[in-house]
Parts: sequence; structure tokens; C-alpha cells
Amino acid sequence: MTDTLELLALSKTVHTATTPKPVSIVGMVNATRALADGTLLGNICWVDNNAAGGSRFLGTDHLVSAIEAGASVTWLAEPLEVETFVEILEITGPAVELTSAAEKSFYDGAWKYWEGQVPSSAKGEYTYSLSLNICGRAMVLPTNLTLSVTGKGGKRI
Amino acid sequence: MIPQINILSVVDVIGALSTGTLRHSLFIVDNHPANCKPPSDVHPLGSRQSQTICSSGQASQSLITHVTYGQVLNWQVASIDLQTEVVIKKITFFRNGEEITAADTPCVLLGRYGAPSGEYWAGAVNKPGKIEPGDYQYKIEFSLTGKSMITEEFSVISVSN
Repeated sequence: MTDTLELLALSKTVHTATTPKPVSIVGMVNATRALADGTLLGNICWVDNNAAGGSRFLGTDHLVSAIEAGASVTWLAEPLEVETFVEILEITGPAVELTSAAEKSFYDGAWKYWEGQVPSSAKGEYTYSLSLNICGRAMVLPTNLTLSVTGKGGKRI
Repeated sequence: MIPQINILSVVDVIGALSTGTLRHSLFIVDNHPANCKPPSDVHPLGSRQSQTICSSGQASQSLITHVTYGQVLNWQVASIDLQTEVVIKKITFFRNGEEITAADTPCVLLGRYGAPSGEYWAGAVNKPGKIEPGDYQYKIEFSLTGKSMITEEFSVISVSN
């Protein structure tokens, strides 16, 4: 419980050569079609910046992000359409306590993103889901995403 | 038919700058629906207009987007890393690997436009008679925190009636 509460506790880390690589996760959302369909199924895909570190299923709706223990992680949602609006409302899932410590942040006063940090004691796979605000309508991801936490240097624990 | 095609590129700017290539750091998607059949899989007796058109190569550099004459195309770019900046500098079209001159462009009115959410590139597929149906490749030149990088692989718009 302590580990999971710590897992996404907000942290502003100064990155040095010894700090693990921060992972950024971006959802690409077909907002118009999601509104028309009434679901995000088939209308969202996820990528991150750690394919070289072992992330899998990039470009799908069930991304598994490889992340080192102790690393920071951010989530951002981007609409495909120029004049639509998308933001992450909440991070939820089987490990609710794991994500409840994640916090909404702002960058440049404009982009809303979520940020957390994986505790150094974390290990294994943590599934989670997100709810999004699509032009004023709340929608929940139909599939789970996963953080696959490895040891420092990418070594699987 | 979707009235406008929106094409979003997401760039791992730090990854691209550190490796010197966009090869594993660029993901391009469009707003064609997922889980549909490409035109080549459409039954010969099926009406083209009644079919759902989709794209292939989603979330890769080699996205193939099926378009029709006159359709509007919008290109946006976003960075995976919040603290980095990426913008589209130029979009260049090719036919069979050869760069296309302005007179034969498959995409007219191509240029940078503004929107409340930021700048984007847009254009419209040229008229019938001006261009032949078929595949037109393109490359996107990005500015990654000031450094220019061009996609290594071709993305494609596949023009049909």
C-alpha cells in the first residue's frame, strides 16, 4: 500500500546522469469521431518515448510503457483535430490508490498534463485507465494501459 | 466520406535529437476510423461510396491516407516531451520518388495556418483533371527545438474519386 501510494506521488526531479529516464505518454485522440461514436474504442492510440527501453504496443489503445523504478512519468492527451479540446480528467484503474497520488499540472499555463513518479521500491506491472474530457463530454478508456516497472538501467525485476 | 482529414504527428524530440533520426521517434496518425477495410479489400460488387475508407500504417512514419479530390487535409504536430518544441517547417510532395513541382502538386493552398490552439498546416487535394488518381508520397520537415529534421520514410496520400 505504501509503495502504491508512493508510485505516482508528484515529484519535480532534477535529472542527472544517475536519475532514471523520465517517460512521457501521449494519447492521440480522434475527438470528433469519439463524440459521434459515443466511445473512445477505435478512436484513441497511445505512444511513449521509451520504445528503446522496452515499451510495447505503441500506437495501440493498450500501450505497455516500460519505466524504471524511480522515474517520473507524464500523461498528455492530444486531439487530432485542430479545433477540438481534449484533456485528462482522472487516472483510475484496479490500482486506484496507485494513481490517486498523481496530480494535474500545467505547463506554460496552457497544456494540462498529469505527472507522477514511480517509487524506487516499485516492481512489476501496474494497469490503469484514464477518463478524458472530450469537448466537455467525459469518456473513459475502454481498455487498460500498463506501466511495466523495471529495475534501474532497464533490468527487469 | 470524412469532410476533412486531420493528420497528427507526435515526436519524441529528445529521442530524435539524441539519435539524429526520426526513425523511432515519430508517430503519425489520421482520423480515418480504425477496424475498417482498406479500399483494396472492398468487394468488387460493393459501392465505393458506401464503404468505410481507412488508412494503413497508423502510428508510423509511413502512414497511407486515402483521400478524394477536393478533400481538405490538416497536419498538426505535438511533442511527447512537454518541455520541447516542435513545429512543421515544410511539406514536400513526391510522385514515384521524384519531387513534384508546384504546377503538378496534389495539394493546393498548402501552407501554414493559425488556430486558437496553435499553428497547423493545411491544403486541399487538387481537382480531377489536374492530377491523376493514385499515390502521392510526401515528407515532412520539422523544426525540433530549432534543428531541422526530415522524415526518412514517405507518408502517402492515395487519391481516388
